[in-house]
Amino acid sequence: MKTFRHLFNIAVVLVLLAVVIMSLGYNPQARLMPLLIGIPILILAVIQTIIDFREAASEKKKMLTEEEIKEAKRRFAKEINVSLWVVGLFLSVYLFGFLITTFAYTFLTLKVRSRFPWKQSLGVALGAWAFLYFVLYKLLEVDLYDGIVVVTLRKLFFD
Amino acid sequence: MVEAALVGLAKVFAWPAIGFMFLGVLIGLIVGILPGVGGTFSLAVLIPFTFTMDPASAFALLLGAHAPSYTGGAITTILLNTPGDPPNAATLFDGFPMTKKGEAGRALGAALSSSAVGGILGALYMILLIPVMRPVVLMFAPPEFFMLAILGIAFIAVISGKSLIKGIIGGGFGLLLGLVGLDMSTSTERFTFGSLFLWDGINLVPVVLGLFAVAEMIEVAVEGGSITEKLVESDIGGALRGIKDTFKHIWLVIRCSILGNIIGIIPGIGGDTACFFAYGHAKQTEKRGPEFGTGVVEGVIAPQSAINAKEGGALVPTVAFGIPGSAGMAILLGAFYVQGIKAGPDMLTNNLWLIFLMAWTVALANIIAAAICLPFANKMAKVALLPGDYLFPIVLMLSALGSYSTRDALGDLVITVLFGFIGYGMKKYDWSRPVVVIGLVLAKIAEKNLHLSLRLYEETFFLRPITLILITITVITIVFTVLGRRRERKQGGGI
Repeated sequence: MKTFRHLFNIAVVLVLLAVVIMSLGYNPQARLMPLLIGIPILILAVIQTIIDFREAASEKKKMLTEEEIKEAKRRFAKEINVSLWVVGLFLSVYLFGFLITTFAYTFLTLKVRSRFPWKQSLGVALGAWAFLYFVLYKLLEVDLYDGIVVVTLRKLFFD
Repeated sequence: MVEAALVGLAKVFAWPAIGFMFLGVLIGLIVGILPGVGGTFSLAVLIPFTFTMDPASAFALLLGAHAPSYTGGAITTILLNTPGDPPNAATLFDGFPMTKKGEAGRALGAALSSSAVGGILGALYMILLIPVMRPVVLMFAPPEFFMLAILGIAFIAVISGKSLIKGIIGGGFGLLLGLVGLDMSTSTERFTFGSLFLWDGINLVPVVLGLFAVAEMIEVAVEGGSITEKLVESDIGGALRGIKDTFKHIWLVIRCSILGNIIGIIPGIGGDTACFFAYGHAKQTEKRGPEFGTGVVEGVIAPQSAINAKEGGALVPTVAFGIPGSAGMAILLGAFYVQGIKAGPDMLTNNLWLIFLMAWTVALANIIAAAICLPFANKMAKVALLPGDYLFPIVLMLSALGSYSTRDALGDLVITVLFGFIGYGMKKYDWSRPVVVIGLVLAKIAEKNLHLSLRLYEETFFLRPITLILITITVITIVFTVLGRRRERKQGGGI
């Protein structure tokens, strides 16, 4: 837990450092604001990282129980699992577009990830799709992305 | 003037204008609830339908749809941590924590009623201000806009959460995000990594949806369960308590609606900032200011009072000078041309009744919107009891749609996903997320006006009278915040 906190702090410092270094390459007018903001907050980020390290070092080392280690591992595995589902949403939209993804993604998350019954999963997925199709696509005429697979198939078979 | 006000009122209630206004309010509420698709969208969609309408019906429909969209946006903001519109982001600082505490009904009641009262007051200020507005608007130039942006940035210190250093870093990160894209004065590419998509900069909506909605859903999915385990008041009592809260804090509502109205009037500062200013102001001035961010009803009332009041303000320069006060008003100007009406000083003499019609429509639309939503507030609050497994795909899909709809670009979807993870990390490791949003909103305004000020007035630009007043307010804000934090630390509040 503490290690991840430190990693997060270090990532913040590295991002800000990159921002400052990149800014130095711009012309004087364009780099004014990025440097004006970037340098002070880079310094603050370094200070914050040191504060967190020192706080962690000053805390008495506490041995974690086996149960706590198991819980931390279980949580981390869950975080990875959920993150993959979130990234999966983007990939699905990119490949199949919003109309197919809304139905498929809702159904799959409920059925596969949450292990809901078939009827419930299908019902919610259909409801979500119907809302998207009728309210957004038909009524409000929102421009929905089709997905590269759908576009390619349409070109192959209909154009 | 009184005659014009009465004619305007009579035309609002005449058929078919009143019918079109009801229709507009319903559309505005639905559109407002959808993340990323806001009032500007409903105006753009509805304008083609007004070609054959008379001016009264056309503006009743358009303003009826535009005025309550932020009211609808408050619903998803409070229940799901998913802002319907970027300005609604200020409502989630305390709105969503209230939902987590089981007070969703109360938060909704307070948000809906304060939006309505704010909208009515905004329309009232609009009527009062039109005759004296010209000199006030002309007093604001780039140095004043720059200082207003700096004042907004100073509010980062006010709402930076437990750690001031982390708050400032987060705010600075938001400011840097706002600088991504082509530099306006030199056309230099900054932080674009050669991507054409990033030339236009990073849009607010995908960032807000990622930082709050996606991050919240990741947490709900990891933790399991629902947003809240029980509602404190499950019957209509919760919503009624929220309404009572609004009237109990009526002075706060009045102050924040004035603030919203003034910011709405000033073209160039951007109405989106009004709600953040109102929130910062409330945190500084209210007794329970130090508790803001933990689910305090005043933290919901303040931004929601400003959110609709700013629309009344934005109408002033639009109708009186033909200068749009917001993106929505720029589209509304198109409707003036469709109707063959020239917006500008002539409106004050030839079509004064139309200005009043607009003011009445804004006020009435806000009342109708609140009246439609309030009876269902406690029913809607039950969404917070739904298992997170149901919410996870639905909210993620809504966020993806909202993000994509901002400019029909998949890149925005990538930004939402990326900021979802950043937001989750920030939440987990106690970094304030709202400050990133404030930084992002204000970055471009600050930079553009700094360069303009330096060119127009050189280094002495900060010696202008209003600029000096704004500098004083900024310094007072920072000093009071730092002193307040010190006092809290001494009292053992912990910073």
